[in-house]
Amino acid sequence: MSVRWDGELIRLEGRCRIEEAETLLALLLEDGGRRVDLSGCGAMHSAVVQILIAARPSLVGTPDDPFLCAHVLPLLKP
Amino acid sequence: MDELLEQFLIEARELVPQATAALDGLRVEPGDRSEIDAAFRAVHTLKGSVALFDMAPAGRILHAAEDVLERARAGRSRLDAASVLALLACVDRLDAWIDAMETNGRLPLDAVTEAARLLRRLAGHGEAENATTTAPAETPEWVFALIDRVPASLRDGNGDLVAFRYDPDGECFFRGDDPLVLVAAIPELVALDLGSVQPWPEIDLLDPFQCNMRIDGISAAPLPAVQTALRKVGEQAAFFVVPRRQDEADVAIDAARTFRVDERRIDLLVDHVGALTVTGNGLKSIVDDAGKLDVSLAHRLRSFQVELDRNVAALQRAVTAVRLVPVGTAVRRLPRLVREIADGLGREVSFAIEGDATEVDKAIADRLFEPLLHLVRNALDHGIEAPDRRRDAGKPAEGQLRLRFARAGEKLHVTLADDGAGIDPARIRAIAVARGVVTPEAAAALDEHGIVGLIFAPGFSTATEVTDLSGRGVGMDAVRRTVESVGGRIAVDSVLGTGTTMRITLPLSAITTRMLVVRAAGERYAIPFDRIAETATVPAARVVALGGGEALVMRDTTIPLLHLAELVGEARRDTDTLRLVVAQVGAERVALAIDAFGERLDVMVRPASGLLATLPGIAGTTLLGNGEVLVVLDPERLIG
Repeated sequence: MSVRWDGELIRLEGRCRIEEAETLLALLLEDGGRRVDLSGCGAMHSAVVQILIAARPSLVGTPDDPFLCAHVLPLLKP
Repeated sequence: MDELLEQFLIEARELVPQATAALDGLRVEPGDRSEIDAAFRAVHTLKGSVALFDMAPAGRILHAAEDVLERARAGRSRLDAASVLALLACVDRLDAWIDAMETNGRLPLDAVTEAARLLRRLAGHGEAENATTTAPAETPEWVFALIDRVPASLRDGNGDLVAFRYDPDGECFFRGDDPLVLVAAIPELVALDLGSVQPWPEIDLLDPFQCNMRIDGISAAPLPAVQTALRKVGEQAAFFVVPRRQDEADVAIDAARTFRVDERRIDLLVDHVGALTVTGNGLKSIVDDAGKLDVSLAHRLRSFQVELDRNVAALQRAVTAVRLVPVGTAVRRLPRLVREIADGLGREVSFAIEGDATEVDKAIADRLFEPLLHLVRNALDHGIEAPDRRRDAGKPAEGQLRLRFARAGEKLHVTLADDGAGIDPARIRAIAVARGVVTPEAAAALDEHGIVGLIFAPGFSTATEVTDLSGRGVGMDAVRRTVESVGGRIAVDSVLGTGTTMRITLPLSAITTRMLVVRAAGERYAIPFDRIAETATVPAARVVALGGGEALVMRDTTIPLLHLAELVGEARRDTDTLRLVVAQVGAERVALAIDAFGERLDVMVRPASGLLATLPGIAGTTLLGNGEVLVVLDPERLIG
């Protein structure tokens, strides 16, 4: 659905598609200290995951997707 | 510590020297069947043990080492000198990892790469003649690293694990691929790692639509199932089949006629025997009292009391004997450390231990390792010269270092002799004077032997000699302190140019006494436990005046109260609550007020000497491992 900055957190919501990788990267480039909230996230395209791996922002919340939770999330934690 | 791990540490440390000894034998005689068998048994058992812990890299090198030995046993390949050295390197590494498991509960971070290196070394040498089973060497290192992430419960069992590496091509996002969606569909995925094909650039240079991810994973599903899931990506994925560990039929191990007992249970036994002795002593005075009332009853009682004494003494001897261990157990890590230190310093050395079966009290054995390690390091660093210097001096390039244990009466003699450069008395004299250990006049009055002995003086060693091995600065004075804390002595003989011999004399049995440390008037004192009836904290209001002194009622009995501070000639400190040590003095009890309770210690008491011996109430002194000297009080004499 969307990647948006609510003034406090970068929120990933619903299904994050490939084009959202660019939005996420742009938000992190504005301020590398921003935290990313995954609690509303249903699924992430690999391109979005790639941004999180390369930029290593602090994460908040856990995504709904069991594969992301079990295998990907532990790799994104510092 | 986890009981299982504790058990493992004990067992592994018995097996490692067995393997090392057998491999040492094989260095000399590579075809010796009984040594091959012995090495195989030890390695096999170790392999089984490490499988219980998170020690996968250790499991792999042991597995490979076992293969090499198994082939040699079956006559399918011959061991050469290089493969024996490779096997020895594996066992040495394992030995170091066992230490790491004890200290950190885990293997060091470089264990995976170190194991891979050892596997290559084993494969290169041991498997040259039989190249059919070189699977460990062909499996890439990242597979091993990833397998270590697989939950231990899934690492064992039937069937193979399939490792895959999927490097999606850079343009795959444009084609509409979503690599992680494919990976999520792989059945029985048990481990995953996300890396990068090229190092990640700074994020402002990152192209969000260019895929640079590397996806490594492990599945417990059969290979075709994993390949099917990634069929679409073709060449972008590679697969490796990794056999899971399986329990093999156990090799017959000699049934031991011994069994292990937790050290604490033995200590408990020692405590109880000590308590029994005290009870027996109490009985003696009661028998004396009985004699005043009924002579014939006292006579019968006395014969029983004598019998009891005799049996308690026999029990004490038997329990002491249980605490005896071969001194070799204390130094089993030394041969490896000598090899490591010698390698690090560029020395060639042959190290031999003699008399390691000599039995000593475990408390003594436990205290031996640190000082010996320090002495060994000194011998390798300052004693034995570099090979070229030795050749120049007309000595063989390989230095000799001998550690000898011998029993003489109730003493254990430990000698560590090297054939190195010896200690230069002139240099020692100069250093000792420069560091203010002795005055120039005193130094001039000492003979050569006395001068060399100055290396044990406090302040002689400096922080520049802090060793990385023990992890803290230990000079020779610390070595001396440790030796003296168990009632031993150390001396040095050295002949310049010919070598140095360190001589340590230790009691075979450590008679330790349990003490309670108390504080009074700013000082710490130790009181033997067997003199303490109880400890208590009571309100100061309960103290009543009695005669010229003070008393208080405890358990319906009025007992005199004394202040330890006053007894040692200091001013007492009055507080609202009194901390009391109630001492048993003959049939009487006396409360001793102190400022604070400290820790409990098992220490050896040395008789008071010099000025202290003239003071009343002092049973002796005890030297703690940190160099602190505590005065041990004898409440009976203190109060009397």
